[in-house]
Amino acid sequence: MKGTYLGEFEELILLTIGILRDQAYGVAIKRELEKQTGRTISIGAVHASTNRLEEKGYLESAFGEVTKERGGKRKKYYQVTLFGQKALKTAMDLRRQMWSQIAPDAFTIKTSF
Amino acid sequence: MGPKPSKTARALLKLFCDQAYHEEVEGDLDELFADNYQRLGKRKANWLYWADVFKHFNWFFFTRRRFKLISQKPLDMWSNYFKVAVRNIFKHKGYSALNVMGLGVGMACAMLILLYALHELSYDRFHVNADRIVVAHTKMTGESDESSSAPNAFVPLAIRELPEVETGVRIFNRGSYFPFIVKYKDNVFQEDRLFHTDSTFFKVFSFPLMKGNPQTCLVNPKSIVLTSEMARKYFGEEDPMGKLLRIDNRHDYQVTGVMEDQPQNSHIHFDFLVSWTSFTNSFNLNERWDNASYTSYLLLDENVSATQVEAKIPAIIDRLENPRYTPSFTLHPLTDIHLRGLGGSFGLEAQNELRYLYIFGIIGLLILVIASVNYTNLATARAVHRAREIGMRKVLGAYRFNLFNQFIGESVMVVFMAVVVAILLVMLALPSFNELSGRVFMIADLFQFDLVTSVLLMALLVSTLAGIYPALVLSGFKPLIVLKGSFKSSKGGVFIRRFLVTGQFMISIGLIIGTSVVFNQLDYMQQKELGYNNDNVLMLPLSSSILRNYASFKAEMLKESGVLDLTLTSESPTSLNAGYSIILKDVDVEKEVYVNGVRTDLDFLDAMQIELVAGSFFSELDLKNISRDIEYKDRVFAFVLNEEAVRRFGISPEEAIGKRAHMNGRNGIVRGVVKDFHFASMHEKIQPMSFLPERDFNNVLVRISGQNIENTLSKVQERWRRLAPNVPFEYEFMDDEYNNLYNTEQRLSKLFGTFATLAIFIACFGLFGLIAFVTAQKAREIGVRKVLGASVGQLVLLLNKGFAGLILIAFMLATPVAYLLMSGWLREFEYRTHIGLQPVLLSLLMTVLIAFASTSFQSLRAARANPVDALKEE
Repeated sequence: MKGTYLGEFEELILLTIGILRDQAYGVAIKRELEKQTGRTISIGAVHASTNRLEEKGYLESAFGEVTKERGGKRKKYYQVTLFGQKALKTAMDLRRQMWSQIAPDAFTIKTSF
Repeated sequence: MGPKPSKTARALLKLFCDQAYHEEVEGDLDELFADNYQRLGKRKANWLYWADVFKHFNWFFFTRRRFKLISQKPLDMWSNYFKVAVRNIFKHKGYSALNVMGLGVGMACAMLILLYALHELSYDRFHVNADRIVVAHTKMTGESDESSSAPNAFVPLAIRELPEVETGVRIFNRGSYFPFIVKYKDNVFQEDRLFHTDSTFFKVFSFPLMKGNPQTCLVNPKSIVLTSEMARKYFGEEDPMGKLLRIDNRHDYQVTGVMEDQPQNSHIHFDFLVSWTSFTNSFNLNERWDNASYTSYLLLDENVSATQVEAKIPAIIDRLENPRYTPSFTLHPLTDIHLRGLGGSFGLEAQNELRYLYIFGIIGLLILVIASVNYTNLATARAVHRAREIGMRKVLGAYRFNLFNQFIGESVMVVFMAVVVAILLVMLALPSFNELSGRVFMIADLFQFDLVTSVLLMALLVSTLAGIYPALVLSGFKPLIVLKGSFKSSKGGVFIRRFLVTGQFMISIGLIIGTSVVFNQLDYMQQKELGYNNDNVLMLPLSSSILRNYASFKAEMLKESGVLDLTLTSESPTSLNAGYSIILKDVDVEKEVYVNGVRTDLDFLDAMQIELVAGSFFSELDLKNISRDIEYKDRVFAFVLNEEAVRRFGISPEEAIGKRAHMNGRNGIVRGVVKDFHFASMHEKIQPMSFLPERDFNNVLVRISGQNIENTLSKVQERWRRLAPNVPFEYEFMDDEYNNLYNTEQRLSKLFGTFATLAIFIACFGLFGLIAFVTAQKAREIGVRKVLGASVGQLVLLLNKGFAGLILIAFMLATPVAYLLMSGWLREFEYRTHIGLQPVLLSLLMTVLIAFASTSFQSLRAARANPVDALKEE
């Protein structure tokens, strides 16, 4: 099924949300992802991904309570849906399956000294 | 709260970001900003904020906006507004009808005026070269008046000498003072719209030719081009091409072309065109400078202005070897002729005046204002009925801006309903409007592009004007107050409402005063003693056949009992314009006075009942002194002048008698002086004039008795047929002709009257609605008063009192303004009436009566109602 395809960034977002559990909102996702990967991630990219993933059904979201921080604006928390979890698992299985078929000596680095 | 990111960036984000995502995005961005602010400082943080906003753009703007997670179409709100508006309109049918009718009538007036104005502005634009055609005006000497025509030498000279002039055309319209008799087989008619013109006519003008060759049809002598209407009149179903028309029972003209009838918006209208080469007398054919009777047009090269060419004319005139006449010329655009009163004095079409167009425009505008004010007043007065709705909408989150849009939208709706009503009204009113305006409009004319766009613009303008104040008031209601339930009426609008009603009555009163002044002046001009008697005088054409046997003709005609008098004249006394100049040698050899000359029969004074002040009128002896047997230079002419002419010489009428005089080559003496009489319109002061005894006449004047005119006319016609079978019996009443001088004023008075009536009518619509509302508001008060013993009369007075005060204020403000404006208008007339008290009192009386009629109906009903009905609800 074509729908189950996950891009690399999308996969990372889903995994990050899994790590953060009930604390996964925009800025937190961005920080966690930066910490994990060491890359600089734009908040715009995070929003684009989360919303697209939600549309595809991998994520669901809910607004949190109104707090004094953020000028009274609520945080939007994401959760990975069952469908999303399945997609993650499929991706992982696919990789594992393919790794298993690679001969142990295929990737050995040949040094010349 | 901590530091805030850039407001601009925030606004930008809000503008572009989809509502569904906005809260999340802004919250996240704010959090990041606060964090960055602490770590990196304000500048860097702000910079990053901006960058993040921009990074969101492609996503929201290009991809996301197309998909809506939360479905809320922007039209949902509008469709609700629409629904509520429709419900409101139908819930209060009476008020809605008042609004729509008032606005509809107002816009119908405005549409008619627009239609008229667009038509007037379109005059002569249909010529392909309209922008390049100019008409020449001439001043014969420094002090003479400018005439809208030129000597016949002017056009040929201009074509020869001025390279900027592509070509030109002359028109000579003899028919205006000496009609032609045109005959084909049995069809004989008198025609006065026959022009002599150059062969270049169709090169300059774009009148379409149905048959014949535009280049050659007017080249040969005795060629004639006629309109399709004339072709039908003379030839019926026959093909007129090549056929012969006999003119004045003397010359045969060959038809070389048939043209379409001229469009209405042309400044010249004619039935026949005759080639210039058809002239037989040298007077017209030779190029001369002493007679400016030829309407002259030039077609200029492109990109040459009239002023450039005009500047070169004096040089070519100076080069002429012509010491006696050095006329000066001015050139005026063709498209200005109709509206600026150029080019009229030689019988080419009555003109309109731009000024009157402005006046109509202003009247139309005033009527629109009155109608808009009605809407404004009714809408604000009745705001109470909408108060709960507004409160509710506000509580549910509507901004003032949304409500403002809603109410403006409602006024747009009402106005567009009114537009539909207006279009229907205009269609119904078109025939009467045509009569009023003297034009021929058709329903198809209503759908021309210019008019449709102007009407749409007008509708939008009116809906904004009428709707803006109610929208502001209604959208400003405080939800807390209106929802508490004690909100009964908005005090704030009362003053504005009074102000607007006063304004409406000012306009109405001003229009009534204007109308009655115009009517009075018209009446004055038509009733004033003219100095001669023009009652029941027929003007008939004269032919040489009648003149030859005039004595027996006259005797025969006088046998008819209804015929009182018969005389001959060269011109009608209402339009003397043949210019001569007279010198009294015994008084002052140098002093030359311009006089209008008219040649009359010996009995003219008696027949016309003109009073003689001194001397006598012409006698048989005077005729002998100028008989054809005597050489021209030896003839002795008798002149009879009017008082004004004598006054110009600074002598008394008695002194003038017997003085030797010289007039354009005629030597003679002053025989008599007549009392001044009005031979032109009352716009002008009575000018000097002179009677001449020469026997060269164009008209027979027949005075018939005022009893049984129809019968007398048919008897006269019978005799005429027998005595002069070749001359058509086509008569005009002299007093009609005199009244025609005031066509413009007559039309103005009718239009003024109609629009003033409509203005009052519309204003009363509004008043009617307002008083209905006020009585409804005060129902309980009236009930209580009635229970406590107030009479119906007292109650009606109570309700009407407020409006009476407003009318009085309006009256006091409007009267001086109208008085000033109208005395300005009157100043154009040399002989005029006084404004006096009558129009002022009339306007007050009419306004009070009409206003009371419309208010009393409502107040009486309220006052007579059973108080129980009003009080039981509590």
